[in-house]
Amino acid sequence: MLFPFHISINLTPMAEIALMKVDKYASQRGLTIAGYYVAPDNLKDSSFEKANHRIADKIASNCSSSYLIIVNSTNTSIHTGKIALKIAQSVDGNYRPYENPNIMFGSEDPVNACISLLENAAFNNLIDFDNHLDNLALDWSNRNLNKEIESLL
Amino acid sequence: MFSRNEHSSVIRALASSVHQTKMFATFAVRDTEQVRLEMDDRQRHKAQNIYCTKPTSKDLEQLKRYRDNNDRRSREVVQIWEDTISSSIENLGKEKHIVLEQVCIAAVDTFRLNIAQRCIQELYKDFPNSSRVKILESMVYEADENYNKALHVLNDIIKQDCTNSAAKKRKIAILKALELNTEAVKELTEYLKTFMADVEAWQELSEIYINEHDYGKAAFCVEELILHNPHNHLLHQRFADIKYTQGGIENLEIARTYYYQAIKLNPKNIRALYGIYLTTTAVLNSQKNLPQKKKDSALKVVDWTLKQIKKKYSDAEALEDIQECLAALEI
Repeated sequence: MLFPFHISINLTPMAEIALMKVDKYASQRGLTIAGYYVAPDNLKDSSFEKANHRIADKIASNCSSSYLIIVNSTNTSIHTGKIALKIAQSVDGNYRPYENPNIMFGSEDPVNACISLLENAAFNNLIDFDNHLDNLALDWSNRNLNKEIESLL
Repeated sequence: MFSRNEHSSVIRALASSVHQTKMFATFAVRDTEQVRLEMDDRQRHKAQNIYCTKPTSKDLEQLKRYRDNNDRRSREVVQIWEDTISSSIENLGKEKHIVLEQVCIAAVDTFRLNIAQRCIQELYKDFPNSSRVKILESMVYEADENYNKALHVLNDIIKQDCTNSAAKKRKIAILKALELNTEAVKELTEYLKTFMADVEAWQELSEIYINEHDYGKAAFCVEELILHNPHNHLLHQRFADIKYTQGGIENLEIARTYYYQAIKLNPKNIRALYGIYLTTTAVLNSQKNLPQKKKDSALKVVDWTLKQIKKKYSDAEALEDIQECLAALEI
């Protein structure tokens, strides 16, 4: 499950609130926050240094072998089935990148699921924590969207 | 096709914010040229048959709404263009040029460069030497990652007219795209020496500083924004956010004051409520030997904010229930 947010991720107050909320949500359901997923707004930017900031460190202190995942926007060969993700795992408090991540997906065809989500413009239904703070009635846990994603996998 | 820029626009669509819809790429500068465009339009319109039907008036209204709200709805704009406008440019009437510009920027954003080029050709027909159209041309190069050519066009414009702020801003945008943040900051500060009242540029500078973790300078920029617009609660909240991020007891106190001001200006600002909660608990935790009186009042504040937040949530839930009931009734 994903819990996104977007405005000025380098400012801590609302990120702290979000983490508190997600932590409570997760512990109520027997889950743990196991990683941090970043899609940098600059296409060329996919370095671990920039993304590896306080939120990732905080998550690592909470879950010792947490992951940091970065979308590598310069790798766009999604149609050929290549993976445009960079992955690092926390080892003793430092994030170590994997050279050639071998990712196993729970389903047979994640690429087609992504494509159909893109074609249905599912991203329009994504609600992040900032949308939620703007309008509390919006559901940041994205129950509907998560259901849709699960149905495709 | 899932092209490169398409991908980026997905990410950026995720990253676009509600109260920060200002995009550096789509600044609405009402310069003399726009006035000229409109005047020219009016004359043209008179000459045309005024009874000609506009087949796309609903779409035009939609496009105008996007422009007025500064919404980044590039996909929708391009869709409207493909569905209706592209076959009937001449029926656009007095909005022709402004719509062409809007479609052009949207097409660049979604990497539909042939659409953008068509818009530019149409605009050049009416304004062969317009620097505003030249800027659109440079944006097409930019989208194609042909930055040298884009910079060449922009430099030519600036050579002819050193007060062209739009061209200078595009140059800074290119530096940002190339990840040359220090150069972007340098250019932007230089720009702000000339255009001190450009609120958007101050905002952009503050955001670059935040991304560089230079919070002191970011705070300075936001102070400048508050001077320009002292009644905007979001600016007060943003200033407080920065101060809180900086940390230290003094900054926490400042942050709290600004959160108070934000909530005074807009009691609905839930971020400011959370901010008051965070700053007050942080002050409580960081000072062990706080006088009892101060401690009590701080605890009272924490209590109050938590109650307020709870109330906001139950209000929102109630509203959702009402909306659900209404939706059920409609069926």
